[in-house]
Amino acid sequence: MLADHLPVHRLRLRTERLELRLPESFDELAALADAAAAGVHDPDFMPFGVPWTEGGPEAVARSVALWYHRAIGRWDAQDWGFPFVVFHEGKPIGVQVLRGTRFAVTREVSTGSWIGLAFQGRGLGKEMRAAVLHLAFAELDAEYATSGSYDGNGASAGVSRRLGYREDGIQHPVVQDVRRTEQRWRLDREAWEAHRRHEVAVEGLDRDVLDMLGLGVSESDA
Amino acid sequence: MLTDYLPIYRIRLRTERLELRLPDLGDLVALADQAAAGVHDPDFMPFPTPWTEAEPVERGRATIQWQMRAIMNATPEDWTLPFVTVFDGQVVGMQEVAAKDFKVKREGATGSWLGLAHHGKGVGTEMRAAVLDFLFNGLGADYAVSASFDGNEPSAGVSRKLGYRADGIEHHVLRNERRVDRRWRLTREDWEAHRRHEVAIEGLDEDVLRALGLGPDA
Repeated sequence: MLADHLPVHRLRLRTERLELRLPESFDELAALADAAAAGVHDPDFMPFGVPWTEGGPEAVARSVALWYHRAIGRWDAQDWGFPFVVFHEGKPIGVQVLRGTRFAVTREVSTGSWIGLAFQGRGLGKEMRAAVLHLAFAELDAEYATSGSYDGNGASAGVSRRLGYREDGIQHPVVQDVRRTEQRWRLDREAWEAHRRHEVAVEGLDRDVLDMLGLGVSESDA
Repeated sequence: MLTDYLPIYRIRLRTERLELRLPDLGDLVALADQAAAGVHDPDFMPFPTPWTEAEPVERGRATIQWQMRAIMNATPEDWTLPFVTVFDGQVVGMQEVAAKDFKVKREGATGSWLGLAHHGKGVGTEMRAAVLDFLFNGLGADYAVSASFDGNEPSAGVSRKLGYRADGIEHHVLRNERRVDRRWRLTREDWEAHRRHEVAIEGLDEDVLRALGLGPDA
């Protein structure tokens, strides 16, 4: 089993309408790539700092396929990023990344996501973010979660606001040779508690998974 | 299909007893199991990067991660194809072939390992022969190179049998000791003269050639 070697593959987050987990086969990864190729945003508005959606459908799909390889290939207990695939009615519709760097010390996570155009506007983006926030705060004892949204990305900013994030300054990334304004968002534990609306079930979070997150027994003894 | 988006996954090399392919997630699990079970006598470290010193569970994970990085880092100018070797329906080891600026240099380098239980059956020779056929026959290579630490007779033996000639040495420091690494080089002529294995290459289409820097528009 893949989870024997990569225990993070055991983890499953369930909400009312969604399941978040890592892909179990290349067929699932290909289905996710297909979902991205079908379109993830209005082509006139680039919501990502790394403009991976600017090529044609094939380039987009390829980029999604390699995204999983990268997340696993670079996984480190001190610097990890869950490549959660979001399943709705059994099909992959997007991804929700949860990252931590020196998490055992910082107790801070960051998130990023995309969702297929056909599935936007139904509150699913909020539900999947709520799922990883639950993992971070309720299960991993995070104290902060951060996010970012480009000026004009009302959907992403709306998710952050509704879940209790507060504005945390701006930054100016250059994307496709244009200066963009990115709104930073920060959620602390109290605000998270106060805005919890979604029931989230977590499965498979055992000691081996904690080890991969730098939260193992050996680390805390060291 | 993932092969629609990552065409290199289409490649299949078949010999009399073996199939070499880029691993799907199931193959990676089987390969990690082999790595965890052991790939060499612990008293002799055959690798310049001593990844097999780690605990079995770490070795298995490192194997999967190495494979993932090879795929994600592959560009037309600098690629590694980390094939797994399937023998009797079972993943028994890996055989990589790598090249930089292949279109210009026409040279590929190989490296491999086999689970301990599968040593001594000629599998190492057969899988090397498979990637040599891929390089010379499939891609039009002029040279193949390899290397083996002094004392790694099985690896040196494979190189000699397949026609490689000694190509100098280099010194590595490993576990605080100086080790002698023997370089091996095979020319197209020597390869032809030592061919003993029938190899069938599948899936090497235009998309794959382009991914390896050999497309018509490259």
